[in-house]
Amino acid sequence: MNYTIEFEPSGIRLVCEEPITIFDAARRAGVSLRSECGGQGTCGKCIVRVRSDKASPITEAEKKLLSPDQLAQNWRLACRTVASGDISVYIPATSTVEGPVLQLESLAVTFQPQTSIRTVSLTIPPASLTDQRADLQRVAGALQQQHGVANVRADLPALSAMREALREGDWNIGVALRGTDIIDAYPGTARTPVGLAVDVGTTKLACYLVDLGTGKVLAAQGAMNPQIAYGEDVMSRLAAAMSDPANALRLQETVVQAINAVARELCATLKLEAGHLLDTCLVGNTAMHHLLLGLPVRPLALSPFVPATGSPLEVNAAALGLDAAPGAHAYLPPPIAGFVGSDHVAVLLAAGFGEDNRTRLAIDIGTNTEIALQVGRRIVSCSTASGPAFEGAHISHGMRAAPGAIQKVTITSEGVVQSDIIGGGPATGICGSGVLDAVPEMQAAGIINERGRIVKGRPGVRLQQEGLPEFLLAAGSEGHRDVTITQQDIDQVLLAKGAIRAGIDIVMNHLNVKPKDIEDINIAGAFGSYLDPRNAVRIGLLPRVPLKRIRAIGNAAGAGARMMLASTEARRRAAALAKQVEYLEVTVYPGFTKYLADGMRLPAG
Amino acid sequence: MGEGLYQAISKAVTEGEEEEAIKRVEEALKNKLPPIEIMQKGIVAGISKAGELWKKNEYFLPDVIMAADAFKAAMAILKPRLEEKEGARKGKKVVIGVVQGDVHDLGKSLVIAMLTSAGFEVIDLGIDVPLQKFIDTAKAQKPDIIGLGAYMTTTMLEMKGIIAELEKQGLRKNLKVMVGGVPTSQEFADEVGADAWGKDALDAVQKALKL
Repeated sequence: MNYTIEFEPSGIRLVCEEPITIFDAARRAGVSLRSECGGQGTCGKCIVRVRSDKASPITEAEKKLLSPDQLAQNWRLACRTVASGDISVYIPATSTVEGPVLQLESLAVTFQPQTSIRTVSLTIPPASLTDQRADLQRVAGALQQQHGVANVRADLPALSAMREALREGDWNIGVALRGTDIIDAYPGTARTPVGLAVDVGTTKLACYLVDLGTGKVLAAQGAMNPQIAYGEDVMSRLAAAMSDPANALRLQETVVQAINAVARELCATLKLEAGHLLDTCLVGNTAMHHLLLGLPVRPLALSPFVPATGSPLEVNAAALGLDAAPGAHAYLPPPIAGFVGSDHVAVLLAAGFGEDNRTRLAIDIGTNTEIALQVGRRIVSCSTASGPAFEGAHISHGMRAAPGAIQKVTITSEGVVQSDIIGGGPATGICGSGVLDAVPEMQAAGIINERGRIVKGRPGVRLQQEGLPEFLLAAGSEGHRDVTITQQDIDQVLLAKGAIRAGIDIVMNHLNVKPKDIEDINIAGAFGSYLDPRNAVRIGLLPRVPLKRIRAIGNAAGAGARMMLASTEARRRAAALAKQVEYLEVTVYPGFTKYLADGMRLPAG
Repeated sequence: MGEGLYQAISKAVTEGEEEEAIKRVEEALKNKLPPIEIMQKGIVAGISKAGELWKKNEYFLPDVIMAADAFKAAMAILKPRLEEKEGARKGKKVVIGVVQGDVHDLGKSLVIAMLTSAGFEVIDLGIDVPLQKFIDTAKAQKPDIIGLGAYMTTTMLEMKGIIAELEKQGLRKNLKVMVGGVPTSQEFADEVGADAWGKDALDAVQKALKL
């Protein structure tokens, strides 16, 4: 029997034959729905309201994650609710995937563009009964005569394009060459050669349209990675791909479609089409790399976490489904290890690692945090599972840096809180930088002790329902709830910073480096840009170094991808870097648990 | 003299002073104190105290981790002596391991420490444990409980197969299965057919006591 699931407010419908969870139905229908756990019933983010008696009974998970009021009003968790008849589902704004807040800016990178791709204009002698040479031979002759390029060749898609262009352009065409390969041909004259560099992030995609001749960015745009419907973190997505080959296929297609959509928009700003892209370079963590290529992920998802390749890959863009010129390639630099991807190679390339012998640290903070330490000719990298706390997730009043978010906190020794609210107020939550500000302030004011425990009896401290304490940051008013920092929030922050600090301390110990030896600490990613270096040192996220040595380098992975797009030399260096970097598995490093324990502690005032 | 040493051992374990704990256990053994008492009044008392402080929100993970490390080190020294004495103890027997593909050791260490403190006899199969090893050990050791740990979304999928195999081999009759680890949940435990789910090391002990 067929039945229909209708999603509101979008009005999108899905017709199903078998009972299906609302969560899976939303995925199938392409409806945006938040999830941090990938449909495991643990994160409580996929809250929807159902209108029908054809929904499955309320589960234990829902009783735990939703209030009795919510349940009475038919609010459910999409991943725990099975529809077995016509049903209408309302998805509130709070349950949709947040709009892209994306960092596209990065440190200024200087490099010499140097690519084998160029475009030329050709005027070809028309075919006639007295000159019946084939199209390719005719173009090859003109290329040799007019531009001195010998022995050109063309594969089927380019050949096909060229045949049409010759006639449509009345024997005047523009030709794009990669070395001696014809990769595109179009009527008229040569266009500026353009390519696309993409940082395929777990959460966000950053796309750059680049002039291949100058290496300059012509336009840039971000988008959410739509794979997020399969879980917010890398492991959930790998689990989805492992559990069903159809999921693996969808994960591949959906991210390519999103890249194509951005590419179209970027090209349109310059009155171009995605079909004009002559080259693409894509970087990402190793899971993104494998999912994009459709490589089997099981060996990556389970110990010993081995990637399929440690070499660069250059494939036909069309083979991945990417919109580009007929003969365009997609270039994917190599991952370093299972949990240190080609995006980290790009970060190191952009930050100039491997070019000198200085003692330098690079950190890319995310759900997984990659760390690299350079000392002399050695570079050692590691990855730590830091979780999404610094991105505001799993923080009870966490939100992104939007109006209503507390972004700065000062607490006097009497426990009086002054907070800086984005847009002026009232406060509706706290963003990542606010949390990082609050923790050391609470410690300085004696609201939390050196163990990170909230001290009962201090002003502003009260007990939650579950018995653990919380600290009141901003009292609610007129429909706004109180904004508090709970003991669990503090623990999340300490766990995250402990994992990162343990990774830093382990690579430092491995290379026998002391904090004073470190000449610069480069923090990549959006987090680095709002991180106050003083707070990072105060809570012990970073070792105690002079603050001026800590610098945010923005989306360095995107910068590195651009360099590799427009420079074969950068590609060579990146491949060499990936080989040079030694990967260290921290979880089996001697004394790992002690590093982790020490990392989680707060430094003494 | 015994009581003072037991207290010193207990304090060293609670405070996560691994070297001090080892030193005191060695001293106690040299003084011919009965190993079973060194364990119960010293090491186990110490880890129990750490668990209590954790439960009361006075301790946080780093403190518990250090205590569990000291506990592990002290037990390693005492273990050979304990086995010399036949039938030194016996609470319920738990076989515990981290499933194949997963090499995270920490969560399991904490559970072992807390289970031992509550009087369970724990057999640790380690990390990255193949399905067959769980089955073989279930047959050979006849434990009361098997504990499965997984700390990644990808590896927790292994649990279902292990429980199904225990079932298939008819080993479930007198055997309870518990699961735990960061990505797991009560619903997941129900789904894979486990008897109980431990939210954390403290919760795992509470649930194990009720099985």
